[in-house]
Amino acid sequence: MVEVGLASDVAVILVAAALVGVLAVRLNQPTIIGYILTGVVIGPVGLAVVEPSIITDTMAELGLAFLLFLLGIKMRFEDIRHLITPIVKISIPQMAAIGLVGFGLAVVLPFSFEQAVIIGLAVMYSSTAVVIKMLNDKGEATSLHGKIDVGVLLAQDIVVVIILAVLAAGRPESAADVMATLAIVMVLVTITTVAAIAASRYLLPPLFRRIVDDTRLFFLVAISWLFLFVLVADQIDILLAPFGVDAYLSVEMGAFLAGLAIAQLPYSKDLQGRVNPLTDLFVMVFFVSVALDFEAADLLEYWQEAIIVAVVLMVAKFVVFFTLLNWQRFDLETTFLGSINMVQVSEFGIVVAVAAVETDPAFIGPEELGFVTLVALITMSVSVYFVQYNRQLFARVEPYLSRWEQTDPVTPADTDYRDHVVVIGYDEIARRALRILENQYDDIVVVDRNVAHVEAIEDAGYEALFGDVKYAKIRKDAGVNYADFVFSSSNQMGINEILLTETKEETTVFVEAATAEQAERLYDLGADYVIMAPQLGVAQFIEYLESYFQNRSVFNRKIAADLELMRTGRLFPDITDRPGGDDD
Amino acid sequence: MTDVALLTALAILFVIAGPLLLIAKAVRLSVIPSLILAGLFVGQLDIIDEGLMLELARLGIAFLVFTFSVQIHTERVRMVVSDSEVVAIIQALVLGVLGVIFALTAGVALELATFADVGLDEPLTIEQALFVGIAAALSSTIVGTALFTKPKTDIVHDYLSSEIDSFNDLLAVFLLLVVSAGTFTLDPVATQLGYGVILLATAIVVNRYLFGVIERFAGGSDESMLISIVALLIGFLGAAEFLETSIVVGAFAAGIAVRDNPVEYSEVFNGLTSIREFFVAIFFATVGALVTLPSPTAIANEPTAAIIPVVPVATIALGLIILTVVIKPIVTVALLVYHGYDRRSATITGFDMDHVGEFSVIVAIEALVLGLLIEPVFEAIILAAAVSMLLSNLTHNYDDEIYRIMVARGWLGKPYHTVDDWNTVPDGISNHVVIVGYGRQGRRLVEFCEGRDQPYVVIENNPQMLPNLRANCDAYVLGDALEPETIDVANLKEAQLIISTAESKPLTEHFLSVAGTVDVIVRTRELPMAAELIERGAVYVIVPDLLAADQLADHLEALLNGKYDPAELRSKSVRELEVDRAPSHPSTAESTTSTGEFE
Repeated sequence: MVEVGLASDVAVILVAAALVGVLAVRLNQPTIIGYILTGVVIGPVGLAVVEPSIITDTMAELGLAFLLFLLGIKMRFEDIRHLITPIVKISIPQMAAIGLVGFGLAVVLPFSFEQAVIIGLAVMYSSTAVVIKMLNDKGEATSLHGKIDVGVLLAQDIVVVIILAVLAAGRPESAADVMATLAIVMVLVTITTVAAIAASRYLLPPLFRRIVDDTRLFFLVAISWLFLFVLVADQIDILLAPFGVDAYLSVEMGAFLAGLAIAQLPYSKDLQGRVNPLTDLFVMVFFVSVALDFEAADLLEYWQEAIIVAVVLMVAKFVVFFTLLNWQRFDLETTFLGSINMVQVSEFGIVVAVAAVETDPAFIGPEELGFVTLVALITMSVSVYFVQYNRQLFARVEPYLSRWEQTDPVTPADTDYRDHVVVIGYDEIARRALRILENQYDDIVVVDRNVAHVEAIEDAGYEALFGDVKYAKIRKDAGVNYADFVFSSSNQMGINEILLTETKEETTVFVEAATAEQAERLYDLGADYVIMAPQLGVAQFIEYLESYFQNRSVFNRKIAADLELMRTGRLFPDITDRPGGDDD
Repeated sequence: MTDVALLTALAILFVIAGPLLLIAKAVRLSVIPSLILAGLFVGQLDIIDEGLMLELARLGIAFLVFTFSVQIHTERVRMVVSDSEVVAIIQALVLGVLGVIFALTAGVALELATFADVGLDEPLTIEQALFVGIAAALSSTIVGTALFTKPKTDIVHDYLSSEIDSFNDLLAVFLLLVVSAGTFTLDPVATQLGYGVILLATAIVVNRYLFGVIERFAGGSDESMLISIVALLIGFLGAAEFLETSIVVGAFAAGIAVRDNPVEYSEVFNGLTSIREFFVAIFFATVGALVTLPSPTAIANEPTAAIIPVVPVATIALGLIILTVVIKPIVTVALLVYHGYDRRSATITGFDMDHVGEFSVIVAIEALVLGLLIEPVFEAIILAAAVSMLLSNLTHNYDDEIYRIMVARGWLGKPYHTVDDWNTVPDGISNHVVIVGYGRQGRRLVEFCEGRDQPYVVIENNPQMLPNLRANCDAYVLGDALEPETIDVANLKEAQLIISTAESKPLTEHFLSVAGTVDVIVRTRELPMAAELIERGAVYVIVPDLLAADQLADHLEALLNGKYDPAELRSKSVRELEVDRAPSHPSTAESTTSTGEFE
């Protein structure tokens, strides 16, 4: 039997990264910076206490796979459809322009032509991790500039994935070779994409429909789905070898497409909440292990060049984005904010550079990887402050930018909920409440984590959101903190307490409780009314019972409405399953 | 072993597990045995580096124990040992002893070598036998109660199962501590316990003082908090390794160190759940992968040569399966019935216990890693766990049906306590109200009847309610409302009205059968079912949510029409709350059926 200890390198990495990560949060730095620094400190560059092992490498690989999977899950076609045209028109010229700037700078500085190409390819993306995280923290992810930025980031990510696939194919020998590789990659990517989209149309909906009520099963099957794509992408050379095709597909591409297929299902938001923490954990290992392969000399070899390139790139990125957004006729504030957020070099730049080091023979050496990493580190750290204070900056510079003000700016329809009703859970009580509430409110969204319920809600003409309210993501999508009325027919204390802390003071909140103690606590937390279903039920029943003993005809009259309801089951929107509905 | 990257091995594992999980769902099996099966398949492919997988798998164990520990330490600590815990202790003892005896017997039989080449390479010592005993004794929370998707209506047995299971889990953690001592001799055990105490004490210190610092440092960032808690766990695991005690102890201590603040850190705990499920899946699959089966081709070619080496494993596994699937439920039922539980609740609780628990699997793995357990016994335990979990699924899904067959064949004998032991019903009572179930609703109904001087009889089947019944009920009978004796005592036939607050199908059926002569009100949660019950003669059907909705609608409408302002509604309902201060008992409330026993 094998002697097993808990992998000490993993332990050191996790503990050290947690410490530095927490410190980074304290100092308002992105956690990524903390993680990379951790790698620097505990790796060969610093104390040299950790060496990469199979476990850390695997976790790092998983980190990337999960990051791309998560990104894929977020790619809902319908959410970004109205922005697709401007985003394509912005992202392609932007990447070309920045790629050229990066390439040009690298050629001027002491890098070879080939290295300069890789550097150009590595610096053209902005950081998904930094921008999305900052936007989320500031609550700007669903603002117009937030949506544009997210869209552009996704477009960039697709390009990253293709470039990674090309790099995975190894060093091309000629331009024709590049084209051939690119062609194979494009064909494979297309086939996989078509397979993924076909699956999301025909295979996944009935499949997930059956299992989604079982949260753990849903999660594990989704992960199994991810690994299916990872496995195929990883082993595609072996799979296609009998056909004489020399093919490569990156694990990241596979993971992304696996996510994309799930994204189109109504259950994707719920899954995001579940995949996110695993991604956080593994991505952390990934970022730490980035620096584990460096020597200090490599990272700092080109430090002067890195500073120059970082400064020039940030300026160039801002100018390019500003010009393009302005060209797409977005208003001045959106244009400015959308641009200032995107000035950094992405972690995917490091990924591209890592891939370029790992090709055989390598495109770039560890020094150049160190250079790209340093540029990314500098630009990310600086840009965090730009994002943090973007509005203050805008207020300062607005007077000087007035000549770019649009006369007739694009303002896509705001699809977010405001002053609406959020109903949590769909049972008899919620249904009755809905019928009353719909007389007063136009916007009602019902959140439930049961497929049959969600279908019934939609059939009844309400907006349904599939998901578990215990996830912040779901509460955000339902707009809990902007709601005018929140009605929770869940009697889980945790959920109701969260709802009460998240809603505004003036929001009317009805929640359900199982016991008097819980009810009391919920009132203390500011509930306007606590529904105690069993007690209410008993109270009503005792009313009936009183008339049963006093006067049978009164009793019969009183229960007539209920009996009618039971007989027809029609007063409420149709629903025939049991409330739990879990066992199909 | 074929050389495959760990990532590929993981990918293959999950790719095989996915379809198996789907099949399992279709035939209503639970997740854990499916994962073990997936592991079994992958194990036969011989592509898994056991050492590496075990490292990941042990993270699964760590997270499992960690979250378990976070859960339990926040619950109140009771000093009183309840009936069900007494049952748990005796049951575990009996099964443990039986398991040890069986293993020793099997060991001797195998030594004597009934077949020419059958036998174990190493003798089956008392230590090995003890592990078999542990496997036989412990069932578990996850398999027993948490995983099943069947809707829970029979609250008495759910409550019993979860109490017995939680107790088993606690016992398992204690055993792990002992196992990690590396041997069963007294001295190291004491040392290990000492280390365990040190770890736990550290955990308490961390909880009191350090955790607040971590909270402040994380600055409200969910990600930092999540990573910090993971790091805390890893730190404790590291300490456990350093002290050469089991990582389980470390994980348990880490759980204690964490302050559970479900509201503020809901995202963090959600995150921990996801991470746990991922590693736990790897853990169970790895467990399956560690079992070596003879390859089908070998069996086809040389049946005897292929099968003989697995005879010892199969023998021990079979014995364990019989112990857990047959003997354990019998012991459980007998004990529960002796304590006054009815036959049905007891039987169904018994069916919840009929498997080798996942903590036994953890104990086995830790013992294997520490070199205490020889591989054949380990494999036998794992096989028995997989098979018994699968069987447990079946018995759980069809518990009611099995129970009815058993009663019909008279296997359960007659009730152990006679109905006269526990009833206060006056003779010749008639025109009374029969209230079935003394839960929250039942209590209100009793108050109502007493308020009107309306004679009534309460039928309740949970012996834990006895003190309450004695104190507050003029006329009650403790027993199964389906047993003829109970029906006689309650004089059901001459009642004016039967109100059943229990949502139990057999009970509802039974009451409807007398609906011709007595008014019957039954209860169901399902609206379509309610319509059917009315058709079949019920005067009224309690659909709790429907009734509640009627009342709620008044409040809501008044608020929206401006009849109340929010402050008014609030103060009015807070006042109502004061009035309605019914004590809440965890079990029984809207519970059910049968009290009956063995002789």
